[in-house]
Amino acid sequence: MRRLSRVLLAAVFLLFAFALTQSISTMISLTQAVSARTGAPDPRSRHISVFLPEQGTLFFQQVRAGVKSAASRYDVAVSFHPIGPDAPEFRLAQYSGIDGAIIYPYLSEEEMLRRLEELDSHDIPVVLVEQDVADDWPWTFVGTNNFEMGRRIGTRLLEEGEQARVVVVYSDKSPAVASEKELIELGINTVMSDRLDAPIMRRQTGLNPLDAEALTYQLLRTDPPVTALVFTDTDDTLAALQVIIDLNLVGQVQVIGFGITDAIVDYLDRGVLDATIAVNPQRIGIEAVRVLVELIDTGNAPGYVDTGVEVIGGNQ
Amino acid sequence: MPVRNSLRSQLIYSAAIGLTIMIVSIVYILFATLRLQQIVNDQFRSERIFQELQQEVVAVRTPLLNYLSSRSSRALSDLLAEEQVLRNMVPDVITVSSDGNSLARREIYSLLESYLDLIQRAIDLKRARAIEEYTALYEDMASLNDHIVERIDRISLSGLRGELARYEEIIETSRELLFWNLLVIILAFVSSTMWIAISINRVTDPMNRLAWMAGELSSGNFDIEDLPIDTVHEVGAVIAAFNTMKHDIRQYIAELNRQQQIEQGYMEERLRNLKMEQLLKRMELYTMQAQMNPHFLFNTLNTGVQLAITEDAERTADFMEHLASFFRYNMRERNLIVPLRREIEGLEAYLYILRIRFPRSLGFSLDVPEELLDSCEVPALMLQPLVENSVIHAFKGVDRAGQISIRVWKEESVVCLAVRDNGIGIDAETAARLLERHNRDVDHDSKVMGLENVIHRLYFFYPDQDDVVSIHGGPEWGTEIVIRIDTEVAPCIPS
Repeated sequence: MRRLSRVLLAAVFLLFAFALTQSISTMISLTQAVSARTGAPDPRSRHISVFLPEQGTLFFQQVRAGVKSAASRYDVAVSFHPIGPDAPEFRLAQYSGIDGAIIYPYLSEEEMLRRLEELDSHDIPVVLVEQDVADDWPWTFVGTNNFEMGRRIGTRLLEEGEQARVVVVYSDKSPAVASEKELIELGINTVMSDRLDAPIMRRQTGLNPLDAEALTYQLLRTDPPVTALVFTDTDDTLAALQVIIDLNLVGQVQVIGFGITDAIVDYLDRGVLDATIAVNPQRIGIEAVRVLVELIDTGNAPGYVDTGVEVIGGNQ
Repeated sequence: MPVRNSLRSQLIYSAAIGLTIMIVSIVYILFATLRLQQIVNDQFRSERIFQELQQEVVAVRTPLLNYLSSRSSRALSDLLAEEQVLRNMVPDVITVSSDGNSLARREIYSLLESYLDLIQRAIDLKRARAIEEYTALYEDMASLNDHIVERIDRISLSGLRGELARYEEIIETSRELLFWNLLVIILAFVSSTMWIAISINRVTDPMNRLAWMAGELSSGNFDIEDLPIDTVHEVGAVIAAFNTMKHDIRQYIAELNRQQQIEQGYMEERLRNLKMEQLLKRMELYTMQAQMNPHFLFNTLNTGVQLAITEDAERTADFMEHLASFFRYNMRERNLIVPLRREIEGLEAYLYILRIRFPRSLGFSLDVPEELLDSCEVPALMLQPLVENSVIHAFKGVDRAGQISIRVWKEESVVCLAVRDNGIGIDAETAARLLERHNRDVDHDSKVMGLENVIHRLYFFYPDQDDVVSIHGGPEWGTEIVIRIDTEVAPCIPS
């Protein structure tokens, strides 16, 4: 009887110890889980803000990806903010305690300059990406040389060897390109001035990714007919190519698209697309961070960093 | 003295350990509950802080406008007080990290610091009466104030959403923790209770056994085994004392029993001696009565013998001579134990007389081995009363001639004397009654001189020998009385 009661007591003690261990273990895991959430994250030495338009196009997504990939390498913390007429973050950026700003200019030129000068007055270094502003002061720029882009487009169009009637479709989805229409067209004209059957025509699409569809229908019915279509946005390119396939005009209209995606590559391989404009937005992001950190640390940086542009043909 | 094993120590240790388990468990549960509360509280602490901050940021608008519009010292003091409140809410160090929320908080605090700096600047401009500047600045400040409030809203909402998403996870873990804590407190209670119960039982169990032992002793059972002394010191001492007491009482009682047996034996011996003395006195009395005047009797018998010889009546002379021999043996033998020869000689004289008395109706045979006559001793006057008993009782109502046989033989150390007749026999009930050992006085009936006298004397001489005398018989068979005397056993003769 005494032995039985001792065995029972030992069993109850074991259960007690087990329950206590489980309780302590649960408490520790809970504390650790909370500490892991509330604990100090990876510290960084500088804080920069990146101001990009709110629309989440592929171009800006890749720019963001480039910035993020460079952030840890250059030991900076990055906060992303929208830029635009209704976004106060950029307007009040000089008060936000940042060490520098990467800005995609997406305001009126006057407003933009005023804000840039405000930042400068607060000793906040600025790097402009993809789109420059016209100012006497050489704001540090990282992005694509749009004149070079136009030149390369013209070179590709020349390979067809005929008189061309060219339409360049700009888009609100690629404001950097759209804002430098003149440079692009100047580049095209520089290469193929005597081969243009008519002045380069401009068209513009909005933020709707399907805008290009109706525009393409319209352009393909003009008389005399258009011989070459140049798109400056990936969504516009895809929408237009679907129209060309539907109208069975593949090979009859030279199409130069924009961007390198799987769908674009597929069209290139199938010969539906003649060539595509390849810029490197991720590199733009990386280079922007690198140049800004250099500006913050030394006060000096290259005023212009060309991240390059290629026009890739289907045979490449 | 083994202090650790004392009753007091055991009770204190047991209670202390049981209570310690309970107290530790309760303290742990309390700590766990407080920690859980703190964790849940921490979940929303930053949101509460931002809510307070937002209220203060909104609250500073009014004193700022009041001051800029009125320039009163009261408005200024209100503004400075609010400004100080806000400054106190800004952390001293705002670290830069890769976390988005952390960066957002840093920006909010930076915006707030800038706003506070602008308040100072606005105050300066107001004092300098730079109306256009502070008016323009007020617009910027209002815009900045709105922006700070909006950013706080956004970060609060974002943080709240994040925390709410995690809240379910924490609640789930909390439920698990509460379950284990409930189990801990239940098992702590059970184990403490069991521990105390076992400890108490360790003390009370020996006491129960002690009570049982006391009951057994009080009922006279002293043969129970000793109780083990593996218990607390005090109870162990009592048990040891009880064990010793039990042994002493058992020895004392054994000694009393032994003395009582000795005394009883002594009393029995004395009683037997008294009875024997009484018997002998009575026998002596009977003998005295019978003798009356033995000299006169023997002289008379001798005169009769001489007269018979003178008258040539030889047969009468022999008869009277045997009669004299018979009386001489019966009246003059004073020894209780006699050689077998003496007993047989007395018996032969008696048989001669009987043959004269019953020449045709009774026949006698005597078979005694010669070697036994001098080598054996038997109680005196054993055979003659048995023969006399047969002559008197065995042939009542019998018309034929009777036969009485006396036989003596030896079986190892036992001398057997048998007297048998072929008379009417004896029934078993009568035989049993005769053989019964009586506690009453042997001579309650003064007329007992025959068979019963012989049987009683044999029982006196050989009290431990149950088969010293036996009676066999039955109708048409006769009666045989057998006396068995173990020669190696000394007869019990009173001194």
